[in-house]
Amino acid sequence: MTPISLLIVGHANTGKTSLIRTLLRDHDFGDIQNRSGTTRHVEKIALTLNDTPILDLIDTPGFEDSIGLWQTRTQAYANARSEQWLSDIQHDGQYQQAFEQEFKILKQLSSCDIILYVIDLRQAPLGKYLDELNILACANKPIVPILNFCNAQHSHETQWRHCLAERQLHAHVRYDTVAFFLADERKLYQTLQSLAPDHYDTLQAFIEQRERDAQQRIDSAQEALCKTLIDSATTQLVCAGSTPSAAESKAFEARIRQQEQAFLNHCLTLYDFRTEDVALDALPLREGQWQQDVFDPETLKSWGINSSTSAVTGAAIGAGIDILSAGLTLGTATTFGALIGAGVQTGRSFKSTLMNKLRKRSVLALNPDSLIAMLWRGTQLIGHLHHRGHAAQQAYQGSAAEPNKDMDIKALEKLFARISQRLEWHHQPTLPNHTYVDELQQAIAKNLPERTR
Amino acid sequence: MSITGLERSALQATLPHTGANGLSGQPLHESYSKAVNLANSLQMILIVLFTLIGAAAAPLAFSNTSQLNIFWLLLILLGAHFLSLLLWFAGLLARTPQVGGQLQWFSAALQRIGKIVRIPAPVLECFLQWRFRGTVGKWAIGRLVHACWAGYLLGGLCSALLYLMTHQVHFVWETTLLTQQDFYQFTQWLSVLPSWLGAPTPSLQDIQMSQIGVAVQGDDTRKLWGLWILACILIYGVLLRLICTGVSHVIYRRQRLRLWTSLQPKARPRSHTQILDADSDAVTPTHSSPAPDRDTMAAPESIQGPLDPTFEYYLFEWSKATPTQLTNLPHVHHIQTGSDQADFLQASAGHKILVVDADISPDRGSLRFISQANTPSLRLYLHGQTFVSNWCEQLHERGIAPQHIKLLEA
Repeated sequence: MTPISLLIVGHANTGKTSLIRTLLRDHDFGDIQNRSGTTRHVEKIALTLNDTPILDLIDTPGFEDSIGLWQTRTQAYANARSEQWLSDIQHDGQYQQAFEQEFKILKQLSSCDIILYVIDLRQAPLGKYLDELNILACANKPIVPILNFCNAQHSHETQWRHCLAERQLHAHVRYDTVAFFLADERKLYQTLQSLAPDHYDTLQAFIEQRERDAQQRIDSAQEALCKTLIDSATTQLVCAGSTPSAAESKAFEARIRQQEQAFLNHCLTLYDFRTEDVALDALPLREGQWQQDVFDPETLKSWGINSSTSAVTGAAIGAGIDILSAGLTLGTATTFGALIGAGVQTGRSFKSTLMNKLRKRSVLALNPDSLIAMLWRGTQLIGHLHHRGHAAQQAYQGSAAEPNKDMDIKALEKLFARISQRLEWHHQPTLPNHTYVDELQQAIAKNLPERTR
Repeated sequence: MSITGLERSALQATLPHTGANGLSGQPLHESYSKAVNLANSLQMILIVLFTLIGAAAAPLAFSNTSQLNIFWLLLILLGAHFLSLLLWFAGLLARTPQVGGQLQWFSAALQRIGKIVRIPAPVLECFLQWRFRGTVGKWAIGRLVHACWAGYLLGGLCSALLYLMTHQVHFVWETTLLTQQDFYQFTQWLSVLPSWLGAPTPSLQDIQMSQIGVAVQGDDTRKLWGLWILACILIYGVLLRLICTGVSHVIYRRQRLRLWTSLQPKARPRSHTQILDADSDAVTPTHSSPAPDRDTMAAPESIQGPLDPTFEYYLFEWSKATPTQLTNLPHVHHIQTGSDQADFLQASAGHKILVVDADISPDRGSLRFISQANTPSLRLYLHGQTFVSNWCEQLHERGIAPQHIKLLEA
């Protein structure tokens, strides 16, 4: 089946290339500037699903003088049929220089299936825009108006809706290339489904793929945040003496910031944004001396769990020894193996604490309140990137929103205090399978901005 | 062995956010391939080692005496194997958080050797995490354990075969609590699978002839018991473990693929681009026309004081609210459409002032109209800030005198 050909047209600087960027989630597509006439060529982008092209997006230069062009239709070509005018005007030598860019659009009109007309809602429905619609109507192709910048502060949406309704263009799509919402994109594809019923199933599969991808992105971002928080909670710096020096504190802070920066980079890669799209201020960090709380029942309980796991490990090694002697020493080897296994694990947990105490060295680790702050701004960052359009030009500088009132700080403090005891989780490439990690993941999901959840 | 593209891109996507260091010396995938090769070699060494151990251990079970207890021998050869299989299966059913932990020594060995061959620690840790921990690790370790057992039992089978070919062994059975009939039933039950492969099945007479204390045992009976024991080891030992190895391998590959797929960053849909109509340089872009006097061009003067109410003010292509300076003036019009433009051009020349929104970039259509409307009496007021210099530049190019352009403060 041939892909649906979508001609993306509109007045200069209404966001045609931005729309494609947002649909592609590709920051590098085309050139975007806040001035007319940035795009000066016609470019086709074939969107594929399972390596099969399903949509051809055709980016065009913007209309700049539709009033002048439409005047040729009403004056010099007043008696010609619409299609005849569209065809003849392109070959009329006297207009070649004046309407070169417009003719590039007209040339594509005959071969496309559907026209996506991009409207900048910040502008009123001026005559030049309505003349563009008049010109496009001559092609007798379905037109889908895309109401861009629908979240702008001053919008002429009502006037535009009225004008479009007068032209029987009721099936329009609200879209914002700066603030992206998957629901808007779904609506666009659903509109295409109704206009091209032969492609219904393919478009449905594409919509589902896009939704799966979006889900996967948010899952991956949340997992990365969870890993970063675990890594930061389990990051320690052993100081030379009992009191940390300024250089040691600075080195520790740098290590934490590096981890947060790595998370940020991961998210930028995941959502395909550039480094300059986010400019976060340095988070004030508070590090305190880390102490392994040997009297905390939870810590002891976790060591108990570790010991029993090690006992199983030891028993397995014991069984391995039994293999070598053909099963003759099964019982003894298993018992010894279990004992050795438990001893090694417990010894590992205590070793570093005991050694540092004996050497009178303090250990730096991050306080739970800093970790909670990292969690909060991490979730806000994910929420922003999830809805940031690829045409957005302003850098994200952090959320001004206050942490959720229902954020259970005490529970989070307790959770981070427990996680900080699990030093073996530091820099694990995948998340450990543990209830603490489940709790942290739940806390992250709960603190995502409402629209992202 | 090279790593697949999927694993490579998962690696690229995963390692940067672990904050890994020490990766500068070697390309990431090369270090990772090194870890893969190291683990494969270690696994092969283990399998060969277990095969040799099996080959050495089995004859020990035969060499105690010239009389061999058939069922005790079977228990020694296959008992540990069945027990281990049962433990593995129980571990599989139980949802333990660290199933892969049972081969921690293998991971530890890999880590130590990895350090020696200079595989960066984060790469090695990533490799271990992906291939030897979690669900993937459960099946990877299962495959290794089964392969080692298969090697061990195969080695034992070969050496037992060699031993029985070169030694004469008197097979017996003995009991205090059970009867001949019990042993017959048990033997028949065990012989079901070997008989499918053509292995002989001991009859009740063979059982009677082999009870301890019966002096005479024919060559045929000895041969029958020998073959029966070897067939049992082959089927209940070697083949069973090979099947388990195969199943574990298939599931391991599937789980591994699922893990890698889940780690792929999928920000953008797949697409490719093609230029259909290239930009020719025939027409210079509206915004990039070089202004000859750009450097010397002065910013337009701001209008001081109230506006003259006797003038006619025309808000050109206006989307914003009417500027406050104009709200109370009697002659304020809008030029929004082509016919408005035509009306303006046809109206008699007088004190007309065109107010242009300088927050919008000038386009060819607007500039064409202004060029047509240009008369010595025409004045232009620019309202807004974003594109003031751009408008001035374009208006100068179209012959509008700089002194006719003023700035209307927003």
